Amino acid sequence: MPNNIKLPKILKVTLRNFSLFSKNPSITVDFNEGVFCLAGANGLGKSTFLLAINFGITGIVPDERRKFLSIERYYSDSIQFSSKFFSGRINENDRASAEVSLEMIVGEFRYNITRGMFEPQKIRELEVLKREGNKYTKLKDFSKLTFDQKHQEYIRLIPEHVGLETFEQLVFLQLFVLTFDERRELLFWNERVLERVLYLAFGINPEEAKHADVLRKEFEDADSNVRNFNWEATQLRKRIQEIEDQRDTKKEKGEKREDLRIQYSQLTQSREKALIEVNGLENDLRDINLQVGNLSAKQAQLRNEYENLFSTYISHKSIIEYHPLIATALSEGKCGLCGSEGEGVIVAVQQVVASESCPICGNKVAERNNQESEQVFTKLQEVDEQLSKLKQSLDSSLTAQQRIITELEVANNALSAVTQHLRVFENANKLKLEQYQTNTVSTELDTLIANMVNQMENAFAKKDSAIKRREKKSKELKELQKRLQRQYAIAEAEFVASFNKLAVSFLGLDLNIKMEVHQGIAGGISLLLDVNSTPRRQNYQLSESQRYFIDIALRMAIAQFLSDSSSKSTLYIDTPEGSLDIAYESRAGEMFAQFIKSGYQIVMTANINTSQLLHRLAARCKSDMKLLRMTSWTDLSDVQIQEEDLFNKAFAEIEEFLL
Amino acid sequence: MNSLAFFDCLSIARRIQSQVGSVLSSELHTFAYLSCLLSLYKGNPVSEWGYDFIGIRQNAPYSQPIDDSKSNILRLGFFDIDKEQYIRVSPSGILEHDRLKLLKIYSRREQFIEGACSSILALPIGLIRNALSKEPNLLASQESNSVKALLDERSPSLVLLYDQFNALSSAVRIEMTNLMIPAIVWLSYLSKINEEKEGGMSNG
Amino acid sequence: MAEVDYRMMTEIANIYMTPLVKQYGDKGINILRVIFGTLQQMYKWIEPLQVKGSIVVFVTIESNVQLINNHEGVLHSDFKNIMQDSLTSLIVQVLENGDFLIWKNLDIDVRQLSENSILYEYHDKIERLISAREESHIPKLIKGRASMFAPPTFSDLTEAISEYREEMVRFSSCYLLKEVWYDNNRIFLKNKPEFIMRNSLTNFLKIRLRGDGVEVRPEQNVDESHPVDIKITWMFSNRLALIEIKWLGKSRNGDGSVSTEYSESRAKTGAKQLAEYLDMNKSQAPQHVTKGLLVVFDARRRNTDQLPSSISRVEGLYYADKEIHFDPCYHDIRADFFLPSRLFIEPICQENQ
Repeated sequence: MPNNIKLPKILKVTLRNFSLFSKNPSITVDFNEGVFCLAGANGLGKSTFLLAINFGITGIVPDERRKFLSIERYYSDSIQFSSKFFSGRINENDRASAEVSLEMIVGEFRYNITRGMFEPQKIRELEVLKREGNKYTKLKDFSKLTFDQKHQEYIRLIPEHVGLETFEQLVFLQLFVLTFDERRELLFWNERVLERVLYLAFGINPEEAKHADVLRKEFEDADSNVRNFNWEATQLRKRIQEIEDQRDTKKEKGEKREDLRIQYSQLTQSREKALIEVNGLENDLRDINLQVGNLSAKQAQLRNEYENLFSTYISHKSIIEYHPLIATALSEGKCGLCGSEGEGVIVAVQQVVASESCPICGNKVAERNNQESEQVFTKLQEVDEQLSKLKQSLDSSLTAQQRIITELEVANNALSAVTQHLRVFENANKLKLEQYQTNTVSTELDTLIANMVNQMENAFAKKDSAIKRREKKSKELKELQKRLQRQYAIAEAEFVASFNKLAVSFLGLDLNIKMEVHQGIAGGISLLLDVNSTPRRQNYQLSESQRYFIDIALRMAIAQFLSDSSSKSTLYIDTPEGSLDIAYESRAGEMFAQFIKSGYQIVMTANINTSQLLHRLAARCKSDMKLLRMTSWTDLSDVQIQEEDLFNKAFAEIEEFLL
Repeated sequence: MNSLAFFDCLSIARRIQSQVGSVLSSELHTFAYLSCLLSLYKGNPVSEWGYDFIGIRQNAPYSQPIDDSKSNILRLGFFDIDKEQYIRVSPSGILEHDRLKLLKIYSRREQFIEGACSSILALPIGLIRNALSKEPNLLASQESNSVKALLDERSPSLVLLYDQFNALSSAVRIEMTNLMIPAIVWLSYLSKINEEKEGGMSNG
Repeated sequence: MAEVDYRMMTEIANIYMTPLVKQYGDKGINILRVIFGTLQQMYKWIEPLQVKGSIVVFVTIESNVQLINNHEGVLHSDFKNIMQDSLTSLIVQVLENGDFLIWKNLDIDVRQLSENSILYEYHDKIERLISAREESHIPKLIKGRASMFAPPTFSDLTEAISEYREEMVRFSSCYLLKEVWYDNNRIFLKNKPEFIMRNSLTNFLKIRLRGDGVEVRPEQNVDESHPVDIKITWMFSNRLALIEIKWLGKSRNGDGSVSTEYSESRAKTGAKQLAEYLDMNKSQAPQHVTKGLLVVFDARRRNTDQLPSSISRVEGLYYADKEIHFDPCYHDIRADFFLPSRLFIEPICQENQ
């Protein structure tokens, strides 16, 4: 059960010899509790700042072009990319000396690490301290280790302290869940990634999540193997056929050929029979499907007719006595029409009722109603009888349908078995048959064909075992998913409440997350978003900015769900470049503020377009928010200088709030 | 007008009345829901019951068709209602019910309604109401902010319900048309496993 | 909650799936129905606690077989006129037409009787189903009442509280209330007993109160400005009842020192708080008809300054009938104030002192 993961909380970062920040190549930033906001015009390197922090923690920079396969693969495949990423931002001369240092807290441990900007798998300095009472004491002395060894220690220790099983899982959480970067696909709408996150978040423990990841990959591997081996085998078969056609065919003689011929014809006949069986059953299935379809349609129609008749039947039962006006008059002695009161009213109304005619139009009601009612009821009985018979037919048709489906499956299996047997026989024995002819066969071709037949049989065998493997993995995966669903049902309350709270404050609407399990061999789970503003659903098209902020709310909810209460994590948000809908900006600020209030930390970037959001945030967070301008970090272009003026005005206002 | 809900209303009211003298509006919804669950227990799909339920606050089930039917039945004079809101089936209501229950579309449902209402023989109504509120789908409906349809086929809590029913049917072991015992056993089970939870809230 | 307790489900199922039910299927269940129905009728007229021995109700598998041979049973069609005084046992055979054969004060071997019938036995607050010589205990899901088939449900709140007093409080029979005592003789309370009292009353009302969409909810933040402990709403009408709980008596800390002592004035203060709260909140829920009820758990005893470990009847029951005089009598002058309910809890007294 989650709620005991202690994700890293960042205290301080230092960038050294970072040529991108031309005016100030060595920068130190202390992070406060609450919100840290790095503000500056576009293109100054705000995103780089966040990327550098994440690189420091994980050694990885996300490669947007790469398709996500699995948590393990993601880490290993990104190492190459990460080692070159900062090339554009750091001078050649500074390559070796450019580094990032971080100070962070993980539960009761404090980490001080330094990493070279081009060394994803090395750590230059590593210090791990453990808190005892009010002091921190060194856990171990790493100073004598090599950079590689320090890295090994780091990736061994930090997942343990965080509470995950592997370092790759930490990288995944850090880059996919805790970091929001609009250039990458949104978490909510990226099924593959979301599924992994769900397993991690709601799985029974990280071990199981890892297992699910592996299972999924194994299933997919087996699945693609099935296809590949099948293709390979069929290609081989074609090729073998071609080669054989090149040889002369002479008339076959001899007893042995006769034997083979008999065997061959027996096999061919078996196959014919099997094929006929399958075809017959397929026809039966088509017929029964049609029958079931017809019966179902008829049933729906009859039900409809029944309900209509019933309504009519009931409406004819309206009795004068129970009409509200009459009933009230009788019980209260007051006429609802004219207002008269007294005993006389009751007597008069009673007479009306006894006369069985309508007081307004004079028609003899009761008699007419009863007759009509009886007629309708008779029709109702007829339809009911029809419905009952139809249900019986439908039930037995459904049973028959099920039976035929099962039989068809068996027959199909039998057909493929006998077909394969036949083909193998054909190919193996054509060779033998040819061998009885003299002189026209070249040994080389023989050997070639024999080899190919061997390969083909191997391919078929591999395909079979791949099928078996795929079935097995699918079954295991489904069981895991079922367990997960149960666990989710329990966790749903906590997680949904927290997500709703955050998103409601943003969109102002009730949101609902539901988990869905997909059927079929592939399986898979995903989340659905429901926007309920009224008891009935409306289709909502979310705007881009709304989607962004829903995604951020989702990450916050997951972070809250995963985090241990003593160790609340940090969320990294690289604010979208485009402008947000003004209406939502201040609400977004509200959402961030709420997140902070519950003890979490946000490290975010901002530009001129996010000033509304920052206004709101500043107003709510006050001293919990720290705003840092990038002006002193780099030289500005002309365009950027112009923007700076606008900036100054906007941010002066915001800074006022913070005082 | 939903004729199934109409019939169920009459049938449930009549049965409950015969045991405790009268029936309350909320009890119509409760026992309709319980009857529907028993139909699921017997392997019928959710869609076959004929009308839906939602979960409202305090973990109680509610069905609009049932409420509409109650109003219609009152208007037609088949129900009488007193000042305290207790409902009784009127003589004309009894006649109508006797007539309708011969139709096959309804006689199929009697098995489930009978099973549900017969639980009152062994368990007090208040206890039944309390126990049912701990049913997985009703429990889940309390957690979300929005009104939630009960027995949605994609919902995880339906899985939990079927788990319980599987256990129930292995425990009861014998196939019976009379569902009184599965109903009593299941409700007693829900009541018992939540006993500890209720008593344990000693610090508020 | 996610994992189903198979063992418990089977345990409960086995209670009702008696051997004869298993053997006879639907027929067996019909017999059970008949027995349960008979019990409900019977307990309207017969008070189980007044029968000194056993109450037995049975139905034979083959209809109307005579199993009790030496004694003539009396034929009845209902339970209206059964004389209850000094019954040592009551045996009822339900016949196929719905009539009953009744024997009084007869000693029988229930096990033998159960060979050809399904049998219900009530003895000493335990209820059993017996058939083919095998017995099972019917689970007591409702504490306090003598029989699971008898407890009445109340539409009226004050009636329910009266029943609560007699059934659960007076002799501290509620299994939750047992935990409020500092000592075994129920002379002193433990520190802060109000939570347990609230839970006890809430539990009782949840099950025994019948109403249209009735909901009984314990309140979380109880203090001077919000003295309400339990809130009862009737969803399909607009009624709302607010219950405030106060206790009187002495409570003691773990080390034995007295932590709090409340006398009559506490109850009066409680009434005042409740009245003020009702006034303040009149505007909050104008559509509701709100009524307040003060429930006082009275555990006062006389002469306990020396912190005795036992107490005489005179001292222990001194306050048993001492009604509290409220001034002003809110219940007389206000329509939204119930008559306060005082629930006196008897201590265990030494007989010879």
